[in-house]
Amino acid sequence: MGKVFFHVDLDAFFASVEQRDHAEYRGKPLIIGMPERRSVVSTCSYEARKFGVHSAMPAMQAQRLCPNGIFIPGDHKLYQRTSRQVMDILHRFSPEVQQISIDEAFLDMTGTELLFGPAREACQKLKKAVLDETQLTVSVGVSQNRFVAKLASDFHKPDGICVVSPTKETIFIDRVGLAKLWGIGKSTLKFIQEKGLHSTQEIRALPMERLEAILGSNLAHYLFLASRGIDPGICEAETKSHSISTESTFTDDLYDEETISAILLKMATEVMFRAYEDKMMPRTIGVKIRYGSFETTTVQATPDQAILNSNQVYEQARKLFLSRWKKSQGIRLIGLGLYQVYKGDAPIQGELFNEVEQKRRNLDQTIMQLTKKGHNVQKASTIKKPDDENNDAESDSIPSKDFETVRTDK
Amino acid sequence: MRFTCQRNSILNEIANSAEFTSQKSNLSITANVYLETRNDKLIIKATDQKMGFSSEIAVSTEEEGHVSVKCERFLNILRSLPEEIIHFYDKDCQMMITNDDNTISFNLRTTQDDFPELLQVDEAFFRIPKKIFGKLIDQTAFAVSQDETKAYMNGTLFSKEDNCLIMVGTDGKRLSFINQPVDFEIPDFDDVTIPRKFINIIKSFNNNEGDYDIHIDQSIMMIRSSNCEYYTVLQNTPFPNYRKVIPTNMSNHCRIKIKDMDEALKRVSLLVDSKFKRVVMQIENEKILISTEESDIGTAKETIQCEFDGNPFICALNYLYLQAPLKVMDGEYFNIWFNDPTKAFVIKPDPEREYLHVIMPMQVN
Repeated sequence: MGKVFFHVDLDAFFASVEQRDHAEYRGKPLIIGMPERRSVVSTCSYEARKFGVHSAMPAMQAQRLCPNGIFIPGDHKLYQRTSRQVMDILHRFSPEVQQISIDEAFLDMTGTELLFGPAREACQKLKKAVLDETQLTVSVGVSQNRFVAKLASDFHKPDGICVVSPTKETIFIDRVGLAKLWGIGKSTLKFIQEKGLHSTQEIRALPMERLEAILGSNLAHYLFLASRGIDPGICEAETKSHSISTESTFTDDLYDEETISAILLKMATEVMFRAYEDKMMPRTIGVKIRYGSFETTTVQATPDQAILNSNQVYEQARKLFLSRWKKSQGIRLIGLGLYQVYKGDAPIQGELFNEVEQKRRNLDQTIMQLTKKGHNVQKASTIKKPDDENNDAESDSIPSKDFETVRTDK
Repeated sequence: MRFTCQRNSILNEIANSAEFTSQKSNLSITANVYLETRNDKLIIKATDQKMGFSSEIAVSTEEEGHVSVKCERFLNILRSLPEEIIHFYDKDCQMMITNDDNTISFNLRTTQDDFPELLQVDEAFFRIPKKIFGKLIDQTAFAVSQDETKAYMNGTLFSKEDNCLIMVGTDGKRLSFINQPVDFEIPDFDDVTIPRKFINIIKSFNNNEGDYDIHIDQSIMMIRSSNCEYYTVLQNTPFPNYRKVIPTNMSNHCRIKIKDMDEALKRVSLLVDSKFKRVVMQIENEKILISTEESDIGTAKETIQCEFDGNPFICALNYLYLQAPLKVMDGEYFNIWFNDPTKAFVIKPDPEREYLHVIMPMQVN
């Protein structure tokens, strides 16, 4: 029996939560993100999308397109809570839930037919459960691999179901089209089109060697598989050992070390805070770098000393990053992960001289608690300088969606 | 250069000098050993730029001169030769090595590059019996951190207080301390951290017979011993404040036979989890149950006798951290001192001696 994956995506998540809780926003163009310089749209309601507004758009531009739109800063605490509620529901449908961001997750539904019925029926049950318990709609994509399932959930949005049977994957990929293939950003699309390739059919018609000659081996390999509906590994399967990771894909490739360091610091804080929240301790830190050419490299380290705080994660991640960084190549994606994670609030092996690291851990946890209570607290080093121009990592207090953030809980 | 000597007399010195060469780059001059004949002596030098070694042995010199050759290759050649008189001479950038009846011959390429100067120290040496210095090292070297990123723990602290010599080794999870009173005069010197590699060399060279002449300042430690001298450059990295982490006022202790614990750990550790090496110890009613946790490979447990009259106590630790100090502990019994299963334990011989070992426990599942 083949595998069955669901990709579940909450529709216009932040905006839908706001419209659910505030009757005055319903039916109106609602935009999460304040129209200020450097601020970008986190998400927007479907009413705002009719005006051409979309997530990751500069909020000032959104205001020009939709002058009567309602702009709000958003309540990220509420979104986190709601997200957990939805994820809890998803866990009732499958023991294998892989959350990849605040509003989307993969479910391995293989072998659940006797419990929930055929795929479409299971989708309906799942959608009904989410709607009944949270008053939110989700779109579900179904396929035998995660890649196609992800594309499928977007196909009939909002509140949709799209089941792609194994025999129809290439037809489906052609209908999605090259521009909307997951993992193909603006600059990559432009590059492909400049090489004279404009559709998935054209790409599929070329043998691998020819594609490599035109696009380079990494991108060629990716498109060769993607155009055939085969998962090119953009979202790696779960490993047996537990991990907490995050990834950011950038609209424009990054070259600047300072910007990359700031992103790593923010990611280190994010993953470590998630570890605190889940009462988990990591043993290994890993960094993933994907260049504009799609060349991808990963590097991991297991420090001898216990990993107690985000500062240690950042320092180690930066070291790992610098050990692999090819400065001449722009970076389209950075990932940071904690691996070999075990349950606990303290390291398995005690340390004699960890006073400083323990203090930093306490500071981290204080910041986390204050943030939970609604205070806008950030470590000074993660606050952007007023003249920062580059598109770097998002934060709850400074909404920025110039890139797609993928969070993975394995 | 042309000389003759017994194979064993040169082999030992070249083997010692090899410890001071850099094996990272075989192209570097620091991978070489320097040989110079003067009168009827062969001078042997090696350095990796952080450490240096020089030695003299008696040879029969036929022609004075000097060469430098790849140390490792030279050593392998010497090892391969029979135990007899060996002839060495250099010609056309090669060193000829032949046995007495000329049935074996090697032509080893020599290097023309200038050999680096070794550091020189001419004064302020003090004398210390090898046995005492060896004891300081034996009690502490095993606890030194292997983690290159923790430079401040990559060596043993060596210090002098009143008429005691102190040495401390730690990797941040355990700590070994010795405070050895001495009945001879030692000049004051500032605390230094002796690098792990140098400590291991001293340990391997030490035959516990005779004395060392030692020079220490903030930048170099040099040791003279019979026909050779060797040194290391010292890093100015502050050692952690070890005094702060040696627990005092421990209220509970358990007296155990060293041999019983050592053998029990050997057996139980056969089925220990290879990642954490954790064993659990349950101390109750004059018995200690030592066990491993459930894992894919199975479990092991053993009960040994002890002297303990406190409340039942459970703790977990990396078995290697207990096994290592027991291997160098004198006497028949030792005590584990403790207050709390999450706080550091102290291991001391019974009766107490100049040394103790501190171990941080692991979480009990």
